[in-house]
Amino acid sequence: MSDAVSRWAGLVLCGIGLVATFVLAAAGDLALYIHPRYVVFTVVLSVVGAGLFAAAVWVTATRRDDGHGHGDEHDHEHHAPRRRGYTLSIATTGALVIVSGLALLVAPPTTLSAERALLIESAVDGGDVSRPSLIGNDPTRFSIRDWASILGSGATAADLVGQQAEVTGFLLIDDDGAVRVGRYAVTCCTVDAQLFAVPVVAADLPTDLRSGDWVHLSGTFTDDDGATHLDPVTVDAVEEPDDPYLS
Amino acid sequence: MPETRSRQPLPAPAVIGAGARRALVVAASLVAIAVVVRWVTIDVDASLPSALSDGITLAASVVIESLPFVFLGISISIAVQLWVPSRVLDAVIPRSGVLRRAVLSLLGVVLPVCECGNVPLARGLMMRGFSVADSVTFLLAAPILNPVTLITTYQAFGWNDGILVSRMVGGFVIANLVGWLVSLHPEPERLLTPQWAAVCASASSSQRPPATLQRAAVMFRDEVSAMLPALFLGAGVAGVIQVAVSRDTLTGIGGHPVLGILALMMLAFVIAICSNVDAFFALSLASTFSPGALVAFLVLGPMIDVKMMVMLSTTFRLRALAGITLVIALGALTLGLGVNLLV
Repeated sequence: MSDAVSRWAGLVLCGIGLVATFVLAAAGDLALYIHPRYVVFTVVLSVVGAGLFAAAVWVTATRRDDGHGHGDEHDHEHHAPRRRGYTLSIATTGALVIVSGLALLVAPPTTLSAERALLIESAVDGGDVSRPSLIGNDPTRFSIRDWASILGSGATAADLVGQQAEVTGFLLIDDDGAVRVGRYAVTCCTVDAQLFAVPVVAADLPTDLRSGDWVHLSGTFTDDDGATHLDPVTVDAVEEPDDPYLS
Repeated sequence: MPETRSRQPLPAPAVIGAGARRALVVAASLVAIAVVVRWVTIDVDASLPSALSDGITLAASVVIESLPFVFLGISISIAVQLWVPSRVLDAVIPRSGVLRRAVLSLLGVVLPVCECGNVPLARGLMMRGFSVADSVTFLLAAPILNPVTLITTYQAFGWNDGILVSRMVGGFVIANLVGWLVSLHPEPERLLTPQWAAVCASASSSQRPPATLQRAAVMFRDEVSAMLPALFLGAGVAGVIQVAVSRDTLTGIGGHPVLGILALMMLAFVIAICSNVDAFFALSLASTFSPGALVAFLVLGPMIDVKMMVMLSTTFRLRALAGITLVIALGALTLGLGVNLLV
């Protein structure tokens, strides 16, 4: 595309992406989209991008054409549109800009839903975080991912006698009443989020809790019909933590 | 032309016309409005339907994650085009054919950009006069053969099942195979979109422009105008697919030696994650899938996925893109089968 529309559309999308990144960074919400280890990289490169963006806006506004090297890229806005898809491409570009603006600037940033978690299988292997050893570690510091991978390796209630678990996650209540406490883990960005979940003895839960409610559970593991479940002694409803994804 | 030149060094208010001033004021106002809107809406408690909310979250995360890599790729591309003298490139890179492409596919070792940033970088190489075959080889190989990807693959898998070695060697071979096939084309420019071919032709026929900040700004603008609509669209498609198609339909296929490979290739195509860290994601699939399937996932994903398809469609004709994708897919399948036979 060689017209002013595509130039400005690219710059507008660039501006939307930059504003979204900087405001999320200022509000401490970038971790809703990317792993915390990329936050500094993202902010630094966005500062570089913002500098180039400002220069590009300046050049585009103050100069009529590129001058060098792009002989065929002069503005054509005074000529009749050459291509048949011209109107269509303007409409597509406009729709893309509007949708991107709504998604990145208007829709409040949030975590992946519990409804989605109910539809997907939970992982049993910690991926980049290896399964912690029960010996020499404080089990109350284990996360839902740690417990899920310990249970996933086949640990039974007998193996876990005396192990005190303290976890924070959101409740997942299946149609058949089975309850798990779950948490997503992210290795790069939210697209690769994996669900980890630990089964919970449903009978001990307050009845007013729903799927998606964040809770802090403490308790021990017990055998529930041949499967290992967390048997909570205390159940506290809590706010969604600042770092909802395990990293 | 001379009047334009004489204007360059003087961005003083006197030479800015009323129209330009208005454009700058509008641009500044838009940025200010965007900041205010984002700041106000950031804590609003909206209860969107969960599928819509998840789709937005997934698409936005692809954009937020990829954008800095695109900026990095464009910055390096501008630097290579404006500030790296031709004799440096000529001295380091062999002149022709197989050897030249082999060296170019290792360029990712010094330019560690993952696949999103690699698209503008490969386009920059074409503008510098590199052939289509050379640029494609670099484009496909660099996201795999770079230190970040190899270190994370090693952290995830170590030397187990030859996954790291197969990924390295397989990525190199497939990228060079595609490059070699492209080099056989009698008119490689016909693989490019007409607009992009014209840009390359005029860039290589004209004198190298003087390296000014203004020139860099124009190159940045041209590159974001081409890349960002594609990136945003590709991210949207990836978000919709993730919501519409359950990942479990693919991962449920599991350990079958052939179907498992196809399933993970499909997953790599739709999930569109960054090559720098995809090894960790693959590790979580290691308990259910064969090593061959994991290798196919790790080789195909960095070369082509739904987001890359949209980004590359700015540069390649769709038929060429389909052909390249097919060769990559067949290569990844063969590699996966080979690994399963040997391991």
